[in-house]
Amino acid sequence: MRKTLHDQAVTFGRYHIGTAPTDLAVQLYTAAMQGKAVPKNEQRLFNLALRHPTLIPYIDAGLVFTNPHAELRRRLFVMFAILETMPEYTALFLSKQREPLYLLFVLCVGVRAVFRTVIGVVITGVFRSARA
Amino acid sequence: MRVHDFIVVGSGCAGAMAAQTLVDAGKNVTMLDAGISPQDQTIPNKDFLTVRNSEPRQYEYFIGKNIEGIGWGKVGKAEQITPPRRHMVQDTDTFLPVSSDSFSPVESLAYGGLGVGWGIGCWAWSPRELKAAGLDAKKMATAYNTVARRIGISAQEDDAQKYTLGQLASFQPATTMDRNHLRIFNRYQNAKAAFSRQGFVMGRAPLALLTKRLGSRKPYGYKDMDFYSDADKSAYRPWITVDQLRHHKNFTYIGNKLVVRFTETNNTVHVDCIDITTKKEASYLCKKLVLAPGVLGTARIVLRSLGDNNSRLPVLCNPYSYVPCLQPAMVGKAAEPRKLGFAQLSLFLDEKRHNFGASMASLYGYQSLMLFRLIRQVPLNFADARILLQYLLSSVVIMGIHHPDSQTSDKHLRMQPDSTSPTGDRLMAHFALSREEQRSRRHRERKYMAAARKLGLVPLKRIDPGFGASIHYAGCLPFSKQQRPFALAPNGKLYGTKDVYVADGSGFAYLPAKGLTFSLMANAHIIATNAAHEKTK
Repeated sequence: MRKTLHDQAVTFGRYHIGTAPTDLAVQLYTAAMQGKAVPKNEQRLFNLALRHPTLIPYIDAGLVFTNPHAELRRRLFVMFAILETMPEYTALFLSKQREPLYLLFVLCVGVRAVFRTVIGVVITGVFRSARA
Repeated sequence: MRVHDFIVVGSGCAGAMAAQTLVDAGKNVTMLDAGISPQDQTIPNKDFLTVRNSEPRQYEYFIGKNIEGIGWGKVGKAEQITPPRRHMVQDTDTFLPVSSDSFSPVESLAYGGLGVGWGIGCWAWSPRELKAAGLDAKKMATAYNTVARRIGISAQEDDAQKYTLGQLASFQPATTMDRNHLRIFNRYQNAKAAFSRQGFVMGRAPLALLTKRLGSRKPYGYKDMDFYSDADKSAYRPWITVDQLRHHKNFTYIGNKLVVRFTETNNTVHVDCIDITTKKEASYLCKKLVLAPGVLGTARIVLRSLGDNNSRLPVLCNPYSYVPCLQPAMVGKAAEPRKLGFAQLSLFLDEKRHNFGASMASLYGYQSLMLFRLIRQVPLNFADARILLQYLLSSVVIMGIHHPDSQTSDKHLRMQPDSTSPTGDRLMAHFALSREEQRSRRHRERKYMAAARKLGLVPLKRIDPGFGASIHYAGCLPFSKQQRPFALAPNGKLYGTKDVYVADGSGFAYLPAKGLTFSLMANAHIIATNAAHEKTK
């Protein structure tokens, strides 16, 4: 379980910040999730996300609409909050002075987010149907 | 057993003010208080940005040592309570159980009570509001100034001063507004006439926040750590008063005690308590009892002492919604090093201009409450939402809207036996707005959304955290000139008793939208003065 939680922390950390998180962040995540089980009906999707981390953005996006309180979303959220309090990563969270053209980048992120949501709803929908 | 002269119950804003007034009057005062204190925690006395960029253990106070400060699920009560303030609601589920499907109150057993998390807004009620609440406007005007001198208030005279200051004369210069609020206020000033036609008026929110030194308390340093720590004691908290009183020879503080009931016999009041650490019973005797554990706490004590399981008490609570807004002109700006987290502007909606029945919106900046509190409201995957929110964070303004409340038959409390509770009972609550109140609320909130747009804001989503979330409660024992059960005489004495006074908001028969804490403290001072001067029978 400990190894699995460690793996989750690293995987979810990479998803949020693009790199393996600090040991402290991993330690805090592991302690926070110790003893907490993933519901049986969510395990397949949860394990899919861990086995194929490139799918996490899509699954995360889909769950917003199909199961916003899913355990995967909760654990991603916990890791997010932990990372936000690490001084190493404040540059990713604190607001910054941006040039006006940065808006174009944000719009592209928005388009990407919509794309991920559409794919994600399909993926999470398939898993829900399979469960049913 | 020793007979104390005065027992004051509770260390919150009302209890602290009542105790100070009694001590200043030369009385011997004992405070009985649950008094849960915060965990020992060293939070560096630095500004928010410096902390974020340099402190390795910042997670302890931003999200909690055990990550307990991260909420999940439906936005609920006490959402804004940060880890250093978690003691404010510690053990309340155990000792102050409530059952309701329509009302989720926040109560406190903390040292300093709900004052630990008070937003420090200090609006003086108008004479008409005071009259509706059952309060004497002339006495309250004097009491407001007395309290202001004690706690230190910073404010500004402006268009809204009849809504904010009334006749308040004792205040320090207002704080400096941050760039977001300056922009909003300028937009208001440029379109004042149009806002006025809609019934709106905007002004600076008076705050219990020092801009000049007061005793050992220092002026505000704009560190934007308001939700986490205040080493300079710039913001007033009632525990500051209780700490000072504990050095006074006329004052005794007894902690860990939850008062559950009283009985009167032979010119003494017998006060029964539960020790919250051992759950053992304890008793005290006094000549006069002053109840100030908070309105719901007083309701419990009085129902146990004078009522039965069929007795119902009315309750008032300001309906409250909040609206996160974006300020497009402030998008993509660097984090501001000097900032404050308290409300800076108040926007009143008073179509009839009577200074009665107005709703009030408070505007807050959003920097030190962190992205994680916002991100779960965004319907996107976390990775993309983070990029979006980081870009938008400098433009986030929160508009919190309070509405006035009046008594109706659909807002009430009673007690029910519960053998699983340490007190043997639990509070049952029901709260619903009438059709007219709902209609008025919807209409006004639509007007506020439109006003926000005129102020250069883009309202995103109206969030209704449910009844009870305003943490403004009053009116369980309304003031009455005629003697009747479960009511207070104009001097604050509980009818049906000889020497029991109620110094919190229980007597307020009407609850304006303006925050009630300043009025609560002024009333507590008046009630304590009355109790000090009335001879014991």
